[in-house]
Amino acid sequence: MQHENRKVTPSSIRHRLIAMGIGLGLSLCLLAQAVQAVGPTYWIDESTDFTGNGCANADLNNVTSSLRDRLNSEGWTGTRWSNANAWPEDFIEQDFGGIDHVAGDSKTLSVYAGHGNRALLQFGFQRNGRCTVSLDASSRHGTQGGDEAAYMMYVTSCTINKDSLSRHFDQAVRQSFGYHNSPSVKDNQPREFYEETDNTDNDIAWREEMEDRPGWFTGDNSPITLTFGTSSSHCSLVKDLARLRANNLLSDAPAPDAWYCYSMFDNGQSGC
Amino acid sequence: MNWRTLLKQTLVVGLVAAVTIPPLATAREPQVGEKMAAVELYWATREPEDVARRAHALAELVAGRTLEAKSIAKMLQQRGRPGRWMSVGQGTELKLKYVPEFDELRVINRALADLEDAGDIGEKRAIELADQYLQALAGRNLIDVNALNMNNVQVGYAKVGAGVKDESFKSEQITEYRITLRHEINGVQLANAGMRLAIHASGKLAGIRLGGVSARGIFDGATFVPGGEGHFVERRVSDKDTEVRFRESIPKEAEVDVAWARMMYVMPDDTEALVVEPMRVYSYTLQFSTEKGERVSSRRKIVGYSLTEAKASAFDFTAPAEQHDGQDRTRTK
Repeated sequence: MQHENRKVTPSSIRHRLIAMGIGLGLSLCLLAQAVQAVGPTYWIDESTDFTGNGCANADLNNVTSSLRDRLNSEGWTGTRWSNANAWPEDFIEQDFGGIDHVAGDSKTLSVYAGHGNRALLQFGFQRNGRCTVSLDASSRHGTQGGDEAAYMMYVTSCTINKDSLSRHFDQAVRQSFGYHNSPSVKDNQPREFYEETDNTDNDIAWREEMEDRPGWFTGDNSPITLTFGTSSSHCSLVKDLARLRANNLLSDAPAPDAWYCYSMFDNGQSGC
Repeated sequence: MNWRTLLKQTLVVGLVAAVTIPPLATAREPQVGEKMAAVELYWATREPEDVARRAHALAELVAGRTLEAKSIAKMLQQRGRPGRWMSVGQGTELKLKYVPEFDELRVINRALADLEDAGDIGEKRAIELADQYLQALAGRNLIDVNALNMNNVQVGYAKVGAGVKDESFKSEQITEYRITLRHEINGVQLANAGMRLAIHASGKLAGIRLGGVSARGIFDGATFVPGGEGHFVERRVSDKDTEVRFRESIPKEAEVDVAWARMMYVMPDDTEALVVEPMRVYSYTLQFSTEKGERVSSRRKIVGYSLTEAKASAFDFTAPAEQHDGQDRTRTK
């Protein structure tokens, strides 16, 4: 099994421990153990009710409850808010007036399910005059306030449309999962995706799970994973190794993540 | 036993056989005033030995070499892994899964999934190769080659790309041609059964998805004769009439982007068995404008209109739950 080449090597850790003293080393060990004990974390916002709440669109099926339940049962901790309790500011950078430092950018995996468009999320309930979050204008996941998000999942239309990849470049995450078009998504598909990631990399699991509704052969969806890395080879490595359920590469994305790589099933971009 | 003999036996003993849905070389969608089959659809339960046989054959085809049948059968019996990807053998890049609720087998070659710079045979050649793989599958008794219409394929693509954020470099290439064939019943496609062949840009077979819903009935000459609770009905509603109803259903403040609209059999989600008539099915997106002038797109909606009852309610295959969640508690911070 390959491992990601991190900046901190075992030998450098040893040198630092010598330099900083045994006491500090023990403290670091205890801290590391504490972080490990907490385990991976998630933040989920979902909008299904778009009728009469100031943010008009079609009502939706619930696609993240079963994901939340599975994550909880496997030691993940976090919060899922829906409808009136799912707020746009959860995905807005703290420095821009949002609260992502205690919401969407405070956990390992951050999920939004609802409607959208290119680099855009639409919530179901208007709050402070706002229904939408423009990712390039307002979001800075994995950096600045919060600085915890390593993976983003957008169960929305067109949010990772290929024409809008550059509008995701201000995020500092390892991977984002989404769609190049307007997808049809059945209730448990995000959970099914997660469950596959114990022995299948996130990239393959997302594409294979999301191309169709379960049991359909209509090829309605164009699922895409957008991965970031410090170099071309590092990006490929993350794409090949990252597995949510196997706890593989759940740490923060190393900086600077100057490179991106993506893979997708392209069944058109209808709806964008 | 030929189909005619089977038909006679079926009529005599009153049994209905579940068979692979045959195609009609000259089939066309029924028009208003013509008969069309209302078909009993169900999810077949396949014997483990049959699943193993089919899985083994698919895996060998994708691997391009012989594989040990016993190990695949044993792998499929692993507890706690139904419907999940499993690696075929130690250290191989071959992955396989069987999804029992949809009687669906999938095999992929992970080594080819994102393999780049391996040439590009082009779409036309990929379709020709898909036809050849179809014959190979038929030769292994995995499909009836006549059940799928190579003249009516849907082509998607697997693509990979990379670049630098400052846009000083970027690249993209097609790695797979993903060729989907849906089963047809008397010229009408079935949304929930068929196959998808992933032809790598190099020409190698990168993956197969095969299976789906079954239909009760038998094939008599050029016509599929529905069995079980199935029967023939008369088409009374035209495409023009459904189009009017569909357009009237779009909210005034929204625009609509139709991905596809066609006559289709669709098995509703979470249904074990049902007699299904062909419907006029629309797969579409609603697009709204926000107060800021932003354009927002709904997730895909799939709605079907009856072709026998002009005033029957449209069937929403993507309907939300009647009760939204999240209203039972108030978030304060």
